[in-house]
Amino acid sequence: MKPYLVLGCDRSASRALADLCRTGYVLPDEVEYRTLPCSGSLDVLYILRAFEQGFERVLVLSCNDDACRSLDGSRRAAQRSARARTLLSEVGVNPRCVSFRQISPTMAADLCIWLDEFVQPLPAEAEPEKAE
Amino acid sequence: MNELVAVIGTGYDADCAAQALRSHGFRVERIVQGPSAPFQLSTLEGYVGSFALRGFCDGSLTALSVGAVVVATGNERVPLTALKKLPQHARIVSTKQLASQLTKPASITERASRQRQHIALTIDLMTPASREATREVIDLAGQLRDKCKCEVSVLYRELQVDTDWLEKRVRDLRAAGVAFHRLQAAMPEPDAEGITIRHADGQLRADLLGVAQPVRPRRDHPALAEALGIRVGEDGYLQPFNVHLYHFGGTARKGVYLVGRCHLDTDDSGVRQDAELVASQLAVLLTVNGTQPEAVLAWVDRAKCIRCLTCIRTCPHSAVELADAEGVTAAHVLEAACFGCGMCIANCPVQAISMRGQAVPAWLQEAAP
Repeated sequence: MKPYLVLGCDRSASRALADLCRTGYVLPDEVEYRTLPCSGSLDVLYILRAFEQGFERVLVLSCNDDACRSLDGSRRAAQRSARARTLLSEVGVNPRCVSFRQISPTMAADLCIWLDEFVQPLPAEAEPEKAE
Repeated sequence: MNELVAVIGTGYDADCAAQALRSHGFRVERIVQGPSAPFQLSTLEGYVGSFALRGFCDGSLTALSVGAVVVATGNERVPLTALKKLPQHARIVSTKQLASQLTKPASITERASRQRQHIALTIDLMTPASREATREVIDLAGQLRDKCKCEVSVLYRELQVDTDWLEKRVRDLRAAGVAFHRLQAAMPEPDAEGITIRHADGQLRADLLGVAQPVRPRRDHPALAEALGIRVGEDGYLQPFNVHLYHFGGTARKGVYLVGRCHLDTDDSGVRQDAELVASQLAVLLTVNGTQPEAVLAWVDRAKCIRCLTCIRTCPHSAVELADAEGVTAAHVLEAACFGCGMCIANCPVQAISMRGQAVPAWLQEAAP
């Protein structure tokens, strides 16, 4: 089971990844990449079930604002990622486990940097200061 | 396959669209918009290749069956009287008025040589520059210089010369003696003798000022967009600023296209180019590929559907409708219109919609209830 899951929009992230792979880039072994037909189709349950099944981190890649063929898809994905983070923090999971980024098909170089960052260990969540 | 294409609009944009479509072998039905038009468009039903344009004709509801719809309504020019800060003076006229006077060559030459020694033209005096106004002013400056032999100055805040033709034309005009000055915030000051205009290099004194009328989106765009099931952008034009669709007039609804200045800031040559692009897109869509559905499609389980209409409201492509079959009323996905984006699936409250043609990952399948 790979620990990291990337959910990318077919019209932006997948094209950027394809561009990146043409340059010889190989997706890290610990990353599973799944294509979404549109990031608007992302459901909160989709993210939560990924954690149920053992994924440790999820990265959602959506089109830039106003660049979505389905008009509101990227905005919906942003809202649902935020909702998933809220739900995870309510059950005691570090909300930073869910990341959301916006990308265009020409941002292969940025994607490379983001994927490198994504597989780095997550910084520990700061504990709230205890009142004396 | 219905190869009749409805072109909505009048004027140059619609003419270009109709001409380009005819050159690709389509039959064209022109539809005029406006309160006094014979056909009042109400709704657009169906899907690409089999649209039904419904509307009122002579008071009765009629339907026109078309394969695709092309909107070429153009934009509006703001009259100078609507520009409140602009001084109203006989020496300040619109560039259109000046251009119409050029159609009387004998009189204008005579008058220009005697009276109008110096004519100033502004591209974007009070509003952001548009390509249409830029092209209009550059053309007019050339005509005034060549035909009337007057001294011409062009004033601008932003000079959009982003095509080879326009760049060469501006260079030629400079070489021919037309002065180009960047405008400053101050308004022109007309008096009995002439007009004083301040610019970045100083000030000039002109006998006549030609102001290009600003452009704005048509006011009937929201009603038209609602009837066609497409969206109006925040700036009032018929397309949200969208980098994927911007280069040709595609909309989120398959088979509905936009041509010209109803969605683009462009000049006449840009309109012709846009019309040709849309006609070739339609030629592929309606004739070569037909209306083959996408590989991945949404599918509604009629037994689960609770008819809440959520999918119909959220579908950005107008691909879902209510349909009766075997005594059951339920949501139905029009395969030819569906892009397979999956947005209805994520929004369906009873999980009655699923994706056909796409493998569900094993880890998601196992966890599904």
